[in-house]
Amino acid sequence: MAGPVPGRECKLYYNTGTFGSPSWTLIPQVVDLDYDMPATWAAVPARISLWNFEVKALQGLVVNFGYRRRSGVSDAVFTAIDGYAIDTTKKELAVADGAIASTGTRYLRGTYQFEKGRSEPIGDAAIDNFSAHLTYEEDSGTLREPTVVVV
Amino acid sequence: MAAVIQTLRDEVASTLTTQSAGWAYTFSAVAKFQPKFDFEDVDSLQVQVVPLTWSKAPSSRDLWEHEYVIGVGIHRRLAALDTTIFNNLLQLCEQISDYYEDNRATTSDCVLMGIEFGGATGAPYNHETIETQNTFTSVIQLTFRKYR
Amino acid sequence: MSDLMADGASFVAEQLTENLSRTVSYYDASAAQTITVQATKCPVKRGIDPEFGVLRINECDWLIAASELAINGTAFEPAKDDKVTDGTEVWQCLPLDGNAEQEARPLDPFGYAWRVHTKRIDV
Repeated sequence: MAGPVPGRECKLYYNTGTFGSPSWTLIPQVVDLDYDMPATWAAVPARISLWNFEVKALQGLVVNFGYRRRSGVSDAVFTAIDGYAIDTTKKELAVADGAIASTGTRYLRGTYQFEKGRSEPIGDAAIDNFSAHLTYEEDSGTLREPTVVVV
Repeated sequence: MAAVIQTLRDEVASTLTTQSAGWAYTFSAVAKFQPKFDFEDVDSLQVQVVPLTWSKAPSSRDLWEHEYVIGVGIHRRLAALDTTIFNNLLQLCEQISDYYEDNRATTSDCVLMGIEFGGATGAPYNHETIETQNTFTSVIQLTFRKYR
Repeated sequence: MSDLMADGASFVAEQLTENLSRTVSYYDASAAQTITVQATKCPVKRGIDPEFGVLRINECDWLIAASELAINGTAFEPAKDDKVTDGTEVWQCLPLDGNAEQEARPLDPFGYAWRVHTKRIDV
């Protein structure tokens, strides 16, 4: 889809294959999703200049998304992701602005560990809230860093 | 295969008819597309059930939240104003809304989300028709939600 | 000096009664008594009240000389819940919808005749 994309048309996938040969499985019941790349900045002032220069010291990445789990409905995707939140499993996510197989789709690929919470508002459907934090992982001795891929 | 809103309307009418045996007045609720009465005929209690609104909004990237409002219209015209009968009719309105509150009936696989009287006005009955038609008119709006 | 307006109104009320009316039964709700009167039937209006769906109402105004409305020589005013029976049709005196007007009003400024608003409750 060319042009601005509503959030509902974006896609979130998790990798059920390997790093070298990924198999991207859609996570269909995502509600809202956002990710942050907060940076830590180091100040590098010097008497040579009036200006207080900064350099980026560290970069973080956290992907937050809600999941609309349906009570009484078998949901293998939820079962898998819920499991990652209660152990230390590292899993890749692809945060895409369209179908991952479509030309032109842009996605952020990274490896994460998960945490979660759940809210059950009295006037709305219950929602499971996941937070995926960028984690350290090597693949055949090579450090995995987040990448942006354009299909 | 019927639309969810049609099945919902029919179930509400059927439930009200069955439950009314233990309420202030026994009646047969009628499911309608458009409620229509003749003034001459409203001297006996009329309960009609119609779909009022149907709205949809995304609930997730895969689900839509369907919200259905089913209206239950209660009409009764009297020869002259009778506070005893009007009080009984008010009690009937309360019995109907209490039934849905207490039972949280999952009707047509839809969850009850709200109960309102008189729509935006919130009035338990129409004040004008008491005076101009000797008629007790109340509309109870039941809001149901289904994720599909 | 005579009041021509009043004289005219009185004449109109007489003519309505003598030449433009029909015999109907009038039930006085407050006294719970029925009398026979001459009344002029105005065109029937068939309205729709859209409060909840469609409520079909037949409405009719009756023009009745004030002198007709008396029980045992005592005059009374038309009031809500009075009834006019014309053949098989029964019309109940009720205010206009929209709280637009009370159930009856004088036809003229001098009270020689009444315009009574009714809704049909039986056929």
